[in-house]
Amino acid sequence: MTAIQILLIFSIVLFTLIFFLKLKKNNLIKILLSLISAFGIYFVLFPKVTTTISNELGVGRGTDLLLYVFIIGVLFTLIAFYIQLRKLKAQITILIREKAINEAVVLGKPHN
Amino acid sequence: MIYVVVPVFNEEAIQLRQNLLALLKFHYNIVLVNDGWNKELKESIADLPIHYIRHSVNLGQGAALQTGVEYALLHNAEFIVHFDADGQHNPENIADLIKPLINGEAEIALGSRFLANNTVKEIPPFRRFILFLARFVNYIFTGMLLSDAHNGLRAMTRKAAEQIFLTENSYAHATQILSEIRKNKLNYKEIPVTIYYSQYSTNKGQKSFNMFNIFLDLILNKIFR
Repeated sequence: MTAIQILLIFSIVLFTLIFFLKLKKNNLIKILLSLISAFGIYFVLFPKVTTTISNELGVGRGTDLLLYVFIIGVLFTLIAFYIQLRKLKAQITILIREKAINEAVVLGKPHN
Repeated sequence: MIYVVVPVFNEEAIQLRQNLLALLKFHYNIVLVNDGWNKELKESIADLPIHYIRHSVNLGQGAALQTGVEYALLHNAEFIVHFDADGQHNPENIADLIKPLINGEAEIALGSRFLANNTVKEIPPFRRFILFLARFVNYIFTGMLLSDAHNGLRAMTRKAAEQIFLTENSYAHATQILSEIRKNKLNYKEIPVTIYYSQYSTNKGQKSFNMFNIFLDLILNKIFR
């Protein structure tokens, strides 16, 4: 095993553990995460496998395939975050509006 | 009962006071919505008989208008007017906008600077060009082709106000109002209004490049509704 392989496997295991501790209930995500991590470790140990898959798909190198998959993954994550952000904004708007209306005042009542 | 909603953000205190006094002459109920701007504003206008609402943080003009409208509806408003705080609108025009609502000709009246002959000449040429483009952008997004795309002076009946719900917090609300009019099949009418292009209101008003932001907002809101 090379140094980079040890580093990568260590990181994958660490991140998986952290996520497992944070995600208390969501079993579907846990299964998905375990699968992804398992594949990750597998590809780190046997990098030639990615090249074989890439060639099957018509991509030159295994690292290129990983890059493409990574980009698509990031884009999906961004959209998911953006949707959440919009939802959050809409909720904040409702909260602030309610608070503002509750605290509304009529000015200029008694004139001196 | 007529309620005039005035969203306020980043205004000159003295100028704002003058504009509010001009509105008060007509004995409308004024709902000032301080959109997360400074808290001292309240003190500077404490003697004016108006309703004062403040957003804790800045949400945008569309959100401020929606807040003001909801407040007015809670206070049994019969007619609700959107009015800009920067002094570019003429308070006299409010009566013109309300008239077709009272007659039952329309449920919402939209101000148009292009129908008022005396105003058209005063519109800066570049602004005129942008407003010309904006008409067609609005048409693409809403199917409504109006003479004035981004006029902040509008009046609506209680019924219309209850049906129009602005979720566009930004300036893109002007386009959303049009799609809401169409969606709810509201009768609308365009009314000529005067716009003052003073140094102050031109500086304060929307910068022309802001149209790109509005355009982007419209596209994003279309996709992620």
